[in-house]
Amino acid sequence: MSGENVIRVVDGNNPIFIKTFSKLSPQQRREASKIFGLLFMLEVDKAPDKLHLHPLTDIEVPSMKDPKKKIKVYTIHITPDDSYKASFTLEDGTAYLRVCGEHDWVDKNA
Amino acid sequence: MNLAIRSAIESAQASDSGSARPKFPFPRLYRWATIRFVIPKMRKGSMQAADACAKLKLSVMEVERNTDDELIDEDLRTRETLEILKGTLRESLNDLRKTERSLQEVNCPVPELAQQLEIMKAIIQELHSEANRLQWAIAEHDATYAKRLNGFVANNADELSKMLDRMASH
Repeated sequence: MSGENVIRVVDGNNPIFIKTFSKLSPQQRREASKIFGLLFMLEVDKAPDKLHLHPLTDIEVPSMKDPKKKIKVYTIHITPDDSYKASFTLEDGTAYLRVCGEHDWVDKNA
Repeated sequence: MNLAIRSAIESAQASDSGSARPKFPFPRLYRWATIRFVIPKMRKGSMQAADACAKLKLSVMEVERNTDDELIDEDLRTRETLEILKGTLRESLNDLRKTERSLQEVNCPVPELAQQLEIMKAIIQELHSEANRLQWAIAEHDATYAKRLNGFVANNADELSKMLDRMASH
């Protein structure tokens, strides 16, 4: 198990995450809490399919450790119906939570 | 709120309120009137919505390229405005679906109407998608530059649950 890609700590100190998380309904927050709990000791490259955990292809952000370095942003579905997701970066075993909100809504029953 | 973002949101709001909601008597006598008056209005509404969609896409691109460390939406007011817009668009989509079902029930003699409804539905879905993308683009930008707090770190699931509970009341 590659140490760099295993989550051991979850950091929620980003005020944007706190604000967007607070906007979720109580039920959504409960569901998200269960999903976030699954992050511990999770190797991001081998996450279960049900989490839909993957790096975004169109965004890289400055590293927390070295702002000159750009790193990937990961997203994970945080509700069982896949309607909401959250983003985070991963550095040295710490998942830095960034944003949560509605997944791109595409109604297939047009 | 950034002026360009506000303009894009206002265009989207205006295009949605301008959409035609045709009433359907459907005797053949009214086919001419539907084609003459209702469909052009729907086409105009679709074009306005498509224009609003393009503005939102542009706003998304501008935000994604923005490396200015000033937060765009620190108090989440723009996010809330976009959330309200998304809700309105979902209602509009439901209205269009109901209209579509009505057309099918009465065996609509104006196929052009059904076509315009399909176009409008597609554009409204696109508008919703772009409004959502803009919410995410702004939040991701601000997440990069926001001043971090202290005290919200968890080393296991139990600590995480308590941390998230504190966040809800922060």
